[in-house]
Amino acid sequence: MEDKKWNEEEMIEKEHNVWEEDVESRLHAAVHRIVPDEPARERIIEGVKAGKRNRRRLAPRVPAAVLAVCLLLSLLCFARPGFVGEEVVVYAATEEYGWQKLMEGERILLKKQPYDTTEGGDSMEHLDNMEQAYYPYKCTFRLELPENYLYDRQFITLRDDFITERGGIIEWKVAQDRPEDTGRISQGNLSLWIVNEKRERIAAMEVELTKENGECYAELKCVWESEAYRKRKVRR
Amino acid sequence: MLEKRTDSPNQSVEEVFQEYGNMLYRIAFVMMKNAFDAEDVVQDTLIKYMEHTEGGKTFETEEHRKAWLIRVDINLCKNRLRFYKNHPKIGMEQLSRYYEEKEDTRLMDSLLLLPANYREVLLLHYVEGYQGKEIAGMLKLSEATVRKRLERGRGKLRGILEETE
Repeated sequence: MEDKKWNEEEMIEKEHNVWEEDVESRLHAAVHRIVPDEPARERIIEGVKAGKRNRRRLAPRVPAAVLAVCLLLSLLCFARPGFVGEEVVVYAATEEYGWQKLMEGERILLKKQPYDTTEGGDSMEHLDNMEQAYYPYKCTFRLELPENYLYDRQFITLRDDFITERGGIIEWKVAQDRPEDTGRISQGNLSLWIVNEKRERIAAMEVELTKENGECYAELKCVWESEAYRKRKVRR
Repeated sequence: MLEKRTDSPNQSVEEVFQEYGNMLYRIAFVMMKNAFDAEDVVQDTLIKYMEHTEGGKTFETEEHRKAWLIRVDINLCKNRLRFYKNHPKIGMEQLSRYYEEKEDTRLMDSLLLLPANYREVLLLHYVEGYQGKEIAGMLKLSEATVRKRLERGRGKLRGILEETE
């Protein structure tokens, strides 16, 4: 059964590589066919010699100082403190890419970090050791929120695992696999609700957590955003 | 990448255009999705090169010169894209003048549908042959970000190609 699955995975991997090589060579050939024709070459070089820049000017040039003043005024008039240029983002710790932004519909392989026993202090050592035996490793997430915004979380249980929080980091404590779990896929959902400073809900997210063949994965499944929040993001 | 010492540190703009004009044009074309902007961007890149070398600055190696030109070319494209509220999509008639095979047109069309940040890394990696570290240096990104963008770009490109099959 396992051999069959492994063979299937190997086949998929091979198919991916063949696809990649094929696309790489086709892309290379196709893009290399894009060359400026003779009149275009002449126009470019004549333009350079004449020192002309931006034949088709895109926007009137405004001195940087004027722009800076306008920007400052608009910030003072319209912006809520801490919101401009920010949005809600969930990051997950990965082995290969470090903190990785979760994107809807993309499954990410998580980094399994050994459970740290040093943070509880000496008096907690025996408890931590017990916990470590039960939860050999953890996967971590962090949220980036606009200032004054808060979040709440709920974890739909995934067997014996649980979600906790330490120093602003959400930790998924992963319990040891039981013998009967071999070959099984287990899934659970982490729900996140984000509220603004008036405690109005502005967004809700669902992260699907999966344990498969000893690996842990996360996927941002469903994102709900309030109309007001969406408009602000678009305006930004 | 081959590190070739420059024999003449300040090549004339014509020589640079002769050597790198096609490369700068195809990068600008893929980024801007039209020939008119691509021409303007190449022209502005060469003017910047002229100003750079006239100011007495030289390049240590030929690779350094090439990487500098690519970086300026891409930055000018990005500046331009910021001005456009709606990024215009290239029409098939513009692309089809380069291709006879429908498959090639479809591949290029799919590439142009990708967001600019994926397009630029795919282009530099697959077409210009740069490695993650070199692309990271050119685009001032971390290596991990470049690798992730390559992975996501490939995935998206594959998705678009499969959808249009």
